[in-house]
Amino acid sequence: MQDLIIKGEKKTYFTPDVNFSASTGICTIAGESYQEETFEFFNKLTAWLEEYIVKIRKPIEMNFKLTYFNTASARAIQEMVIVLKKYKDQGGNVTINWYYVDEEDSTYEEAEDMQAQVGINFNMIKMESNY
Amino acid sequence: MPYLLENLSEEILFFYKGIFSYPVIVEISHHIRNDLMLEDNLREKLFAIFVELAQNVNSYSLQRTKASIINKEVGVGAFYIIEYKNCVKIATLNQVNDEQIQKLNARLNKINVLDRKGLRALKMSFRNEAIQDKANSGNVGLVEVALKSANPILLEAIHFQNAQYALITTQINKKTD
Repeated sequence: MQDLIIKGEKKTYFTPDVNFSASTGICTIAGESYQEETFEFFNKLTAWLEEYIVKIRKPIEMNFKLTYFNTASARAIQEMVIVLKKYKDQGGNVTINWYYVDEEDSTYEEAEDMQAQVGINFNMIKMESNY
Repeated sequence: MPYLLENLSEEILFFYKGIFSYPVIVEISHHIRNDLMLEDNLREKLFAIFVELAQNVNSYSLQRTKASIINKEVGVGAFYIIEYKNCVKIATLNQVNDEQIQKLNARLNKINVLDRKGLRALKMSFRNEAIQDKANSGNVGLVEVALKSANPILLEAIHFQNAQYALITTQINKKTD
């Protein structure tokens, strides 16, 4: 299984950096997400996770280091979290680390709401500064 | 734009009329976020509100045109940001039909009576529906606007030259010491 690596951009759209490693199970999304083809973008990520869960079945550490995302991206992120929750319920070893700059950030509130909604805990980790 | 004319004496920080393609929205976003002469906190909130309102203009404006650079049909509308002594107002304007106005009204009536906790719950409820229905839209843009502005979202139907326009306005209060 191949790693999934996408270089983010901040010109025409805001797309995050993506680095999903099939060999370590460490997956990181970092930066900002606001784009026209939100679902196409995140579907690639979700499909990768689903393939990893079927083929590799090793621990996953998901790191969300997002400093801004619009509501369409938030919905897509929640769908990824649902996939991870299902894997955990099936006995998978899943860790979700959610990085934030400030408790006042809307991304912090989003994380709180997603945890409650999906029923999975995140490790909330304060970042020193913006990604 | 009667509101704009009434407020010419105030500080207009931004005014735009034209296509709301994603490249245009992103370009304007950069200016709101980086160039407006406001506090960082206000700029970030305005940026996030603008993104959500502008997406609605892009998707739902009845006045549409082809954006050649992306080869897509996109919505046409207007938006402005005006600074007052104690607050900053942001508004979008786009052509709508009666059904759209009614839907907007119903949604805003639901949103505007909720406190922050209620808005967060409503957002998750709308999002869950969208996930379950596999709908492309998260349908939570206006809820996010209310959360970001911490103020009601006002809707006014404006009739002009045989067309109807929705003027959606909200404001962010400045911090007072």
